Amino acid sequence: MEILVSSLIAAILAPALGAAFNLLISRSLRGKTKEIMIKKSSGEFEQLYIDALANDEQVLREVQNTLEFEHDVYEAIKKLQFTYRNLSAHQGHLVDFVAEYNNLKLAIECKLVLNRLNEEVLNKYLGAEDRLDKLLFLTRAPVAPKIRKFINASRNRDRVAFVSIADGSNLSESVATAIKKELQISQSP
Amino acid sequence: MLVALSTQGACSTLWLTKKTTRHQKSLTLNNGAKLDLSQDHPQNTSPSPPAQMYALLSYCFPIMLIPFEWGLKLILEEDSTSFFGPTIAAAGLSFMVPLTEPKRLRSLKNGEIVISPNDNRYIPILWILIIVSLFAWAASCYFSLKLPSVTILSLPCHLAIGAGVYSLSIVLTFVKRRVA
Repeated sequence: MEILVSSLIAAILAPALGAAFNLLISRSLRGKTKEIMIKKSSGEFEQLYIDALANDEQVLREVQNTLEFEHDVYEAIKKLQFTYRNLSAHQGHLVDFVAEYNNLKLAIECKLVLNRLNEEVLNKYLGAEDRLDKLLFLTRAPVAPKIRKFINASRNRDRVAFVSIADGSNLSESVATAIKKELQISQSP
Repeated sequence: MLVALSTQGACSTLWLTKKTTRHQKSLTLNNGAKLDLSQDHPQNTSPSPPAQMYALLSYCFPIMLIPFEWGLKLILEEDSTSFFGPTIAAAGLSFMVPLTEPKRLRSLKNGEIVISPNDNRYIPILWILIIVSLFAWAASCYFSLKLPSVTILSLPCHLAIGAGVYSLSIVLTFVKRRVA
């Protein structure tokens, strides 16, 4: 009987200990992010930072939303090109898109949430193509104060701009306005 | 007594089949179930019922083993209960091995592949822990057969080792599913 009681204690203790550790891990990772890589059909890689505790389904959902956002921005740029014939745009290697107008070159990077940015990443984006004048971040969520603080302290602060496009607002119009502003495109075509 | 269990739920492959509007998105899982994608923030989503079921099964499994061991003892008229430690250690090990499969979630629509760099770093650590757990299982067998009266914190040594390996497997499964 003694071994039965011991076995029962061990059988309860084992999952209880595991659950306690899992709780500790969850608490320590709350608010943190993890890195995800998307290998696109073109062979290019895109880096994403998402909630550290996101499971497989949530990761896929985030990836899908990101790809949809990029696609929506791509459609908005194409629409803008119909209006401004001198505006050229293509998909970038290290940034999502590169737009050019009257010798001004703009890199466009789409992020649902801009939750991680450092000098290395910024230099990577700004060095994505020759003679890039500016980098425009298009986001779905408002840019975090820590990111704004980092940019303000960066030597590249004059070359970086942010536009947050909230859900429900006209994405196409917001993208067009932001690109026109950064590329100094006059209002009339 | 080696117990082999499948943990398909932990690393299930999902594929995307349909995109409508932002508020009507869904994923079709490999079991045919539809997953609603209308929420944009991952932290707002609770685990799906099968995931909860797998978690519950893995938490309750050692308790489910006890009546089996006890029944075996009664049927065979042999004391198999002293082998409970190695049994739960082996059960824990069998949970760990499927975790070494790399995560690759594929979105079929445009052929994108999602890769987790954390998972690539996690797999070698997993293999080391599996080997350590194998030695722990062997130690549990040794204590169970040769020194059944040795105790740690008033718990027979083979049981303490077995419980430790099983706890480790629960933690490793959680890390694989949520962190890696």
